[in-house]
Amino acid sequence: MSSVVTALRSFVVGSGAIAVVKAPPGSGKTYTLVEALAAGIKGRRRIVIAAQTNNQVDEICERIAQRYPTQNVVRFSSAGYQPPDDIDERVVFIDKKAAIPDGPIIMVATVSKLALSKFDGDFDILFVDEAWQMAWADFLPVRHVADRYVFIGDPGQIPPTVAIDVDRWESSEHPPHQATPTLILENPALTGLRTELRLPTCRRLPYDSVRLVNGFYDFEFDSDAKPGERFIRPTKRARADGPAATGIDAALEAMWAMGRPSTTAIIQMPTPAVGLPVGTDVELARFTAAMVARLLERRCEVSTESGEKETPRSLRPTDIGVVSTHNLMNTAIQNELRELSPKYASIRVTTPERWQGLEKPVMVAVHPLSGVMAPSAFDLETGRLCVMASRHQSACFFVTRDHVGATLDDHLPLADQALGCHDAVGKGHALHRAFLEYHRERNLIV
Amino acid sequence: MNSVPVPLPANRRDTRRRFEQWVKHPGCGANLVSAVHNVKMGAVARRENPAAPKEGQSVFALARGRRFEAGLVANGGEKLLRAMAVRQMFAGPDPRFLDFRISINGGPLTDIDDAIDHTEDFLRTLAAEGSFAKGSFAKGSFEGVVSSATLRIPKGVMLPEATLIIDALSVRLDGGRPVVSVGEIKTYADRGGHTSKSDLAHARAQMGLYVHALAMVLEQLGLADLVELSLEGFLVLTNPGSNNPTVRVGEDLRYQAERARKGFELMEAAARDMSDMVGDDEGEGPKSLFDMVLAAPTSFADACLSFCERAPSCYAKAIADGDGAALGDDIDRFLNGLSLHRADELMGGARPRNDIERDFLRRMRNPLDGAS
Amino acid sequence: MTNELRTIRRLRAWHEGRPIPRGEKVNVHVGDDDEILCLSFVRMGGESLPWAVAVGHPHEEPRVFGVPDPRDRDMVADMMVEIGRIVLEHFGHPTFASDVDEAMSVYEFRQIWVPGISHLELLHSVAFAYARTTWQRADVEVLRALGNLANCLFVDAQRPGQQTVVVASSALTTAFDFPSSPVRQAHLGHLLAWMGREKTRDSRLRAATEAEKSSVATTLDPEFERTAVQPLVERWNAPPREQRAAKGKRVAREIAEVLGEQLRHRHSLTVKTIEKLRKDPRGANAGLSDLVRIGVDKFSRLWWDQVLRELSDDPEVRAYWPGLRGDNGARQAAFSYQQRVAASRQVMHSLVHGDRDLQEEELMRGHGVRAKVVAVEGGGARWTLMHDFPAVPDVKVGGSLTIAGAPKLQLKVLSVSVEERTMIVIPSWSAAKYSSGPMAKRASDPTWRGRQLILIEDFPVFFTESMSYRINATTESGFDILDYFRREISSDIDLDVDPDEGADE
Repeated sequence: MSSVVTALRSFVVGSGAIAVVKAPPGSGKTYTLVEALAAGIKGRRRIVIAAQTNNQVDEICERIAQRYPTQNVVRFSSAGYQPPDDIDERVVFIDKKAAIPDGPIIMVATVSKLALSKFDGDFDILFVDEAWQMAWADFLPVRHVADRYVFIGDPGQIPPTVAIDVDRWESSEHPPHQATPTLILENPALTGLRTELRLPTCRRLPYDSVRLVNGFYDFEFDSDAKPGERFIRPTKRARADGPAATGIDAALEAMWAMGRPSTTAIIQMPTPAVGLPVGTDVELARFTAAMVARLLERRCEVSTESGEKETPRSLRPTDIGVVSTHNLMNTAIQNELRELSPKYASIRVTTPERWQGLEKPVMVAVHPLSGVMAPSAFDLETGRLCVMASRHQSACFFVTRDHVGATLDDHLPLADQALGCHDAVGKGHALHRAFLEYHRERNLIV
Repeated sequence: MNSVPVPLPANRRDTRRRFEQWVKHPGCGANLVSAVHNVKMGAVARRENPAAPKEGQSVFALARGRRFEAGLVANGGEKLLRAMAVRQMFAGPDPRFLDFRISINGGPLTDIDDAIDHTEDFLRTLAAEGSFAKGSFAKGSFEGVVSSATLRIPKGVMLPEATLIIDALSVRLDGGRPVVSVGEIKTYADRGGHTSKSDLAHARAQMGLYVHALAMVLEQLGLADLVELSLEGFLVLTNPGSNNPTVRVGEDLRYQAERARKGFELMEAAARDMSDMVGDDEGEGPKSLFDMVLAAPTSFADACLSFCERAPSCYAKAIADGDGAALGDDIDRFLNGLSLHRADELMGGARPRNDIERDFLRRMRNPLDGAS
Repeated sequence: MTNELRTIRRLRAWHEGRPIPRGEKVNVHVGDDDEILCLSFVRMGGESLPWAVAVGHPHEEPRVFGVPDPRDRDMVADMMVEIGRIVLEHFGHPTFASDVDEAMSVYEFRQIWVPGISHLELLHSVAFAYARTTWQRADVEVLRALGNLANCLFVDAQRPGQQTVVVASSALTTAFDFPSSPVRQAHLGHLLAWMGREKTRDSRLRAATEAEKSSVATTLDPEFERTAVQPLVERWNAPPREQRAAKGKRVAREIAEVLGEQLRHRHSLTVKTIEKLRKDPRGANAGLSDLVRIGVDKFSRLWWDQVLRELSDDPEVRAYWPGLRGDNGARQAAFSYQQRVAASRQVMHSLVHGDRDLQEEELMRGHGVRAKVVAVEGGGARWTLMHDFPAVPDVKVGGSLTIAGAPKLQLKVLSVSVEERTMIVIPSWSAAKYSSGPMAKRASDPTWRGRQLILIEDFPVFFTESMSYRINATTESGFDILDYFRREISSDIDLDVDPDEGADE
């Protein structure tokens, strides 16, 4: 059992006001949350867990039911909610607050559902899962659910969506649009009230990928995987037909050039002399789809865990995920994949926002700055890049037009944040450059 | 006490303004020549067209800026120190004030070299034993603020050297170790989150330049390990509707300092083959300098409107040439190399001649029409 | 994507050589003349308060006020007292009603129109100067009331969908796409010149370029200021301060004339904008009446209710004026934020059904889906749709969509198949919800089949509003973040329990 679980269990039965658990990608966030409940169950506490979506809530219910076989789990949902057919029978669905049982309880609900019901300290402790996606303004409506709070989530991921002008609150000590854990951790008034914990080990990513992704975080974490344990490796020789095939072949070669396999690479496509395509880069979409096909054509095998190091398994279409930041690009890639083979229709192609919390053995990512000649604050925000670079168990290929390095080198970002705020654009610019530099130093850009 | 004021030599003036001018549109050749050779675009614009409107800021705004800054440093920097103390910028109760302004700016020092000497002497004294000749304080004892600390940047494209004057340099003792922070004084109002973002970006860019220059100077003086340079700066703004200062601390300059370093590198690379002639104090100079600016290629962009006096003539040229940038940077990109004239013809029914033109017509259709 | 749409429209406008209508309807509310007060300001470079002000209803000559030198704060305050009385009366402030019998008993809709953004920002400076002033001077209560109103107007101006404060240049760019760069479109004179009577693109372009040369912002053109005004100001300031009023009457008049001309130009541009929009043949979006009604309620809470509280005889009752720099209290900031999020959703909800162009924009933003009804089953209990845009719709299973143009017809999403491009939905109605028109059909009506519909994401305005009120319904002060966390926690458990034994495994 990790020291974080021990600390959280102590917190659950103690009297601390706030615990914040920083969880790197694939570090066992839900596991930690579920394990921490043991203390609450033993201590006969009333515990409520809030998550952002119904899918997340159902998954947590399942995990709790599996971990504590004699424990009922109350699923507080809206009246019309259709639960998954196969959900554990010990998950009890209720939709009215009056139906919430008295006494010790583990209840799970979406943040929205809790916000719509009126509570007044009905629970001893509120756990918030994926807490970095919860803005401060979304936390306040649910704060009366309990007296004490545990926030657990991944601080490197995409911040809460802000769709309105927020000038009025940018310089506030309590920006309502800021992620709740960030606000809590940065507020000096709360120093004595908060317990900060960090999950120390990333289990999902390969060893070298952890080193790469760690750059997006303000704390160090380890890799569960050993060096060289995870990889992707082609087993079949095939004549390269076209630039995408050549690109993948060169990337696979570069990944194996250093003795120990690397698990990320950047494959570049030339930027046309006449300028970049405006709108969706259909050529790049075609290139991306062809790369996916080439990985399968070369009958790659992958190691996704220590047990597979000696006996890697064959890569299947469903083992691959594709991610790009724009819906139209994703549609174009999906169309190209379908054109190549009906088998590829099962390959998930979507945005980083929708990939959060998910993983695949192999990811193919369209670099978020590909085609962007004058990067904006949105483009330089690193949450999306971090999500893209942290979904894979074996390997991740970034595909991009080859101007990105020069674009970043020539770009001199302005710091136009509000008074007293962090220079997120400058930081994004620096992290994007570091990301490229990491691959450049290791000859992983082909 | 003061001798005759000696103006700053032309080639060392306005380093900050010229650098920022270049950064606003690095893609314009004329802008680069103008910045490197210190030939003001306003003067070039009037050579080009004598009827061109005169450049410049409001005379009243300039006067107010001078009054505001003078008020801050009057009486031993009383107002400034008080505003800084409110923000707990000093560990001790008795911060001090040093005035390194030169006489033509109302200060006690003779000229720019005197100010540079004082600044360097001051930095050495912060770090080493011995007392500061003009201010008499010992190592580890100074906390306070310096007005107009002046730096000579040891290298740069604006050869032979460039000079920077830091509005306010604060020193705070952290366990006996001096920590210096750069500050910028602006007359605009602190309106919280509504404070103009472009004004703030400009101020931070300036402070980033200070940090970069100060790091170079500390390094050159061998003081880099002895004096800590903060990557957080402070802004002295006005309280809206008054002349009272308000200080904002914790301005994040980490990346702006890097931007300055990188910017100088890029500017240097762009200007490598240019002559080392420079304009005079007024940004004017020999005809050959003007000819160089006028001969350099221009490139109109949205940004030009905010800083360049030649923008109207470049705009007219862009319209005449059918340059899409005349309608906005996004149109320029959208046209993908086509001229506005040709786009006009295509929209009017002309047959496309190549893939780029076909692509243009495809994209001009309502994107919803293309969905299937 | 919507940016790309605007780029395309700008090119079309260029090709046509004139501004082209944006939207099927005009999506800006233009009040009646009596409801509208036009305000224009001029300030001295470097100063934050007005130098001169023009104020008036659209149908009348503006009244122009000014001072010889705005660095004299007493003179500015005297001027602002006069302005304050006019503006406060316009908004129905009970203390400043000229006719007590006709004074408003509840807040009624009022608008102010300003030529450009800088004029709106000047209202913020006025608020800073006077809303909290402790100045001991005559009529300071007028200044305070003006300061608070200015702040409320500035705050409300940021609320999506509000119709109380209208920036004329923004109103025009909401209603039209112009053939010039977005940077230039901030200039009201430039925009109106494009809409003028010139016959060709070139002549309109020349007119627009010429118009730009006259500043319409709050500051004067620096060269004009230096040559036309500075000498006059110097003359005014030449005598000792106490003699200026007596000796400087003539120069004060000259300054007033120069500034008055500048202001009348700005005012006339604002009035022209109002006229252009009134005459627009497209007519106003019917949904604007919703936004006006909501705006009255919101501005009433923000300003009017506080005025009444301030005027209350009850010493226990006090006004809650919004912060000048922002909402610093943790609770107030979160409340206001959620209110604005709700407002941004309300805007679309109110306007989108009355304007097919806006529906397309929403589709492009990813807030909807275009689909054809391919099956009507179960007596209308279930429809199958096939979507063609976007290919991967951002639609949540369990979420709700509204048929564009028919806000009473909602569809709940049961399932989505991206591969098949289909979705199963449940209509929320059975009997027809409309008495006439193409949407006046029961859900089971077979003629729905084959219909192509634009379905807009159902904006949960009510939910977000509820969130904001939940934030406010509290016993904590909410100003200090510690209020939310420093409760005493009673600890009655045995801390020696080994948590590992807690699990029933």
